[in-house]
Amino acid sequence: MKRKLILLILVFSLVLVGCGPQDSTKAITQNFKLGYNSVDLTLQPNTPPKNLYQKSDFKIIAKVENKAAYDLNNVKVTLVGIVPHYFDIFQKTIPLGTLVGRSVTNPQGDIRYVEFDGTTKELFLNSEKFDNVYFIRTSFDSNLEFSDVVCLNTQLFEMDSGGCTLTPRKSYKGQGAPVGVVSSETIISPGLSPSAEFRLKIQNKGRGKAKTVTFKNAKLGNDVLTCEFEGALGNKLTFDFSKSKKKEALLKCKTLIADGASYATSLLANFVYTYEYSYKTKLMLMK
Amino acid sequence: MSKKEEGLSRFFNRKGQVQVAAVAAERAAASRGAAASKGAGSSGAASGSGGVGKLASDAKSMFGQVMPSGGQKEKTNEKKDSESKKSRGWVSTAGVAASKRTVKEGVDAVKDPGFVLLVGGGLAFIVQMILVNVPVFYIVVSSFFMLYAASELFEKKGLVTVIAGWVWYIGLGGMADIGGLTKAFLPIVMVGLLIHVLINKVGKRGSIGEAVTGELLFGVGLFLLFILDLGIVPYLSSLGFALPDITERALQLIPVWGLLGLMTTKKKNFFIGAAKFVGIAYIMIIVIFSSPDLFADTTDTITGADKLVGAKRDALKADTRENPAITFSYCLFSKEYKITQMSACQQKRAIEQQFSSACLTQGFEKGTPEYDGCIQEEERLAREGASVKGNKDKYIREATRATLKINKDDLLGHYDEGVPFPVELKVENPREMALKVEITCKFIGKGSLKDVDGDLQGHGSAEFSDKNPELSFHCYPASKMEEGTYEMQVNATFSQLETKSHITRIFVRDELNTKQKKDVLKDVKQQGHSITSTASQDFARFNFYIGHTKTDPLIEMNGRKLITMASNVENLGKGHVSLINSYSIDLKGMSVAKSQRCRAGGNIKIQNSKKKKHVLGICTLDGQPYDYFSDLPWSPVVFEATLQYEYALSTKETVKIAKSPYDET
Repeated sequence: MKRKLILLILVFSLVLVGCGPQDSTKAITQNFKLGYNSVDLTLQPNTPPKNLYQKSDFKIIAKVENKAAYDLNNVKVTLVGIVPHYFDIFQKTIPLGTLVGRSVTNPQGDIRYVEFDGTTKELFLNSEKFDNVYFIRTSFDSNLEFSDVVCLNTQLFEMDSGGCTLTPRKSYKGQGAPVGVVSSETIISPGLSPSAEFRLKIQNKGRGKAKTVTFKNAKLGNDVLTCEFEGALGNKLTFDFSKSKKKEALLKCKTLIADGASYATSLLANFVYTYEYSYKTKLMLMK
Repeated sequence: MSKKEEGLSRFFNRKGQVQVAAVAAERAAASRGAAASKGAGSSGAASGSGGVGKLASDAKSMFGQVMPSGGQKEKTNEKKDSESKKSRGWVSTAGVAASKRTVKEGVDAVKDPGFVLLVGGGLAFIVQMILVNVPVFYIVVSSFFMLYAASELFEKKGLVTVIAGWVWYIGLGGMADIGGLTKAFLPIVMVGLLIHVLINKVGKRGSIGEAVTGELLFGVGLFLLFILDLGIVPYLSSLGFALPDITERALQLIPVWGLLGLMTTKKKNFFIGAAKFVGIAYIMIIVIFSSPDLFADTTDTITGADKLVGAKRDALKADTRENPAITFSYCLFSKEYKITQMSACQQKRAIEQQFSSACLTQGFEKGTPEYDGCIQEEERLAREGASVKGNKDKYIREATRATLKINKDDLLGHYDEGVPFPVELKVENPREMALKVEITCKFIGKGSLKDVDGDLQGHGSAEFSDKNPELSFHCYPASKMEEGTYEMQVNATFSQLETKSHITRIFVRDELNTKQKKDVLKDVKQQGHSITSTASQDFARFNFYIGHTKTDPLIEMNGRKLITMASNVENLGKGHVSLINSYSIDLKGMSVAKSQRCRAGGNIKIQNSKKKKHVLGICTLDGQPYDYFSDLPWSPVVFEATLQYEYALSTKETVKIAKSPYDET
């Protein structure tokens, strides 16, 4: 009887333990919108083979993974630099549409395979081989969301101004995209109509090339901020990395703020950027 | 009038002109002498001597004029006298005296054999330039100068050897290689020596030592000058024995007899001084302004006078370069260039001459607009076309080449009818091209030996398409070969040769800014394309470029820059490209804006075998290649060119023909 009782208690205990809170903290607490993850591209084994021979067919199969925290739109995979004199590729650009970004519901992000068909031509005279270094280039546009809590305080000379402390400069570790806000600066101008200026530095920290970053909107709490890129030519809302000599974009946002004691509020900014990532590889045409 | 006074009667005015007033000076001697002896105006004379005396000193150094000591005072006085005489109407008398003096000096100069050689040699050289096709003229003139120099200049020292040498060389058609000189010429010198010694002994004219020295030094020396003057240098050059170009040109452009005369003039007067001045100036110009070039290995052969003069004539005809003295004069008075820019002026002048020659050859008449257009086109071609470079393809290791060889060990050494002279031809033909080769051979006689044609008896050509053919040919003398030395020459002409070259250019759609261009170039660089065209290692290579510039691999399709193409054919082997059958560049749908000559052409005979590159043309291109994909960020396009040509290889070997052992039996 005692044994039966002990066994029952054990089973009950196991049930209790099993029904307790699951250890799913990793999935829940993993912040995808952190870091500078981007698209990843790898060639599938032996596609193409290491050595190609004259007048033969081959395939280039690449695996494209979205490791960013945002959806990638208008994804295109293009073969750049293949010399058509030696290799004929039937379709040099393959559109992939949208690749869903990583999230709680899709922690891996979207994965696609692209397949290029080609044939080899003849070598030049009695050449022993021809090495064609080329690039599998993935281009896309995507979003970037920046959010932070900032402390605003118009009474800069008060010893005790309330509940929070103004941090004039802050740095960040990315927002889950290759392009991200790396630092911010808060400048308060007290007075009759006090205002706040936020300076956000945006950099490309990924392995590819950022082409443009376009500012969409920004809010301080519920107030809409007026922003523009410093030194941008023409359209002040878009910064063109491919044309600028600067490696970082500086967005300046301004708004009027209420005079009074310090308070903490949210700062949100949304961007759209275009990006391309090139994977370098080569085709070897042998005699 | 004393000699001293006679010397004083000449003076130089400030322009350096010589004025002579001997008679007038004599008439005025008394009054002038009195004034001079009293020392009157000595201070004035001293002050005047600064200018006149310096000029006189300059002239003295230039013309070898002897100024008596203390002449300056008298000269100053003489000047004053002359001026005063002028005022008294004595000018006409002084003029007559000057004329007489000039004639006297002229007669004196002609009596100097050195002066005769200097002027005569110079004049003969000028006439020879005009009568370049009359070799007899120069043989006669040069013979005269040799005999004249021996007889008059060196007072018959070496005359016997010179005459013996002339009789042997010209009269008897003397022949020799360098070895032959020791066999035939030295005995002649010995005979000359003996005769001279005997004459001296019998006539009691001098010692034996004088006779030996005279014959050896002057006789042999003059005879060597004679051969040099006839044209031994260009002849040796034509055989492959090339001196440095500066030396060759100098020896070709300096009259040998004139030079001898220059070095041996004895008398000193105005005419001789002036002739020496002109001679020295000419030689300095030739030596200083002849440009150096390269030189090659040698064979040690010389031959008969007709061949020497012929070689000199050919060299003068072939050398289209301007005489440096004319170039110097042109540049000296050129308004375009300062005197300090002499080198630049010379270079420009040389290039102009080259273009002019090319346009005249094409049939354009000087002074016409067509001629001017031709010159401009030639300038552009030369500038762009010649500078186009090529390289060997890094992926091609095997080269096409050939070796033509006369195996000296297999040569018989004597003439025997029906016994051939074997020739070997080894070819490396890695692409297994279907090639054709034609062989010719010839035996060039040295000295008086006549040339003998070679006959390959039906095996003078071969066709093959294998990778490493080794062919042998038998060259038969077409007629009997005499005892002596021949040079066996073998030529192999390959036809149906084809080579290709290619160049990769990166096409982009729009004009790129500096940063974009840098980004594209960074990627392109990783592809490792050559900036220049590349080709297989063949006898010849087709070099070309397509692009905005020669060194820019990027081509902007919608940009404002022109797309240019230029090409040339470069000789890479040991022979020369004899004919360009055809050439073409596959432009992949792009079109040539103007001249089609740079895209395709053919049937071009290459006259100048020494020319390393043959410029084909330059033009601009329109359109876009079908290999270019505008939707790609950048797109590599390969252009390929094909050249079909003939190539000539040659080799030679000295063949000594001894008496056949069968003849003895």
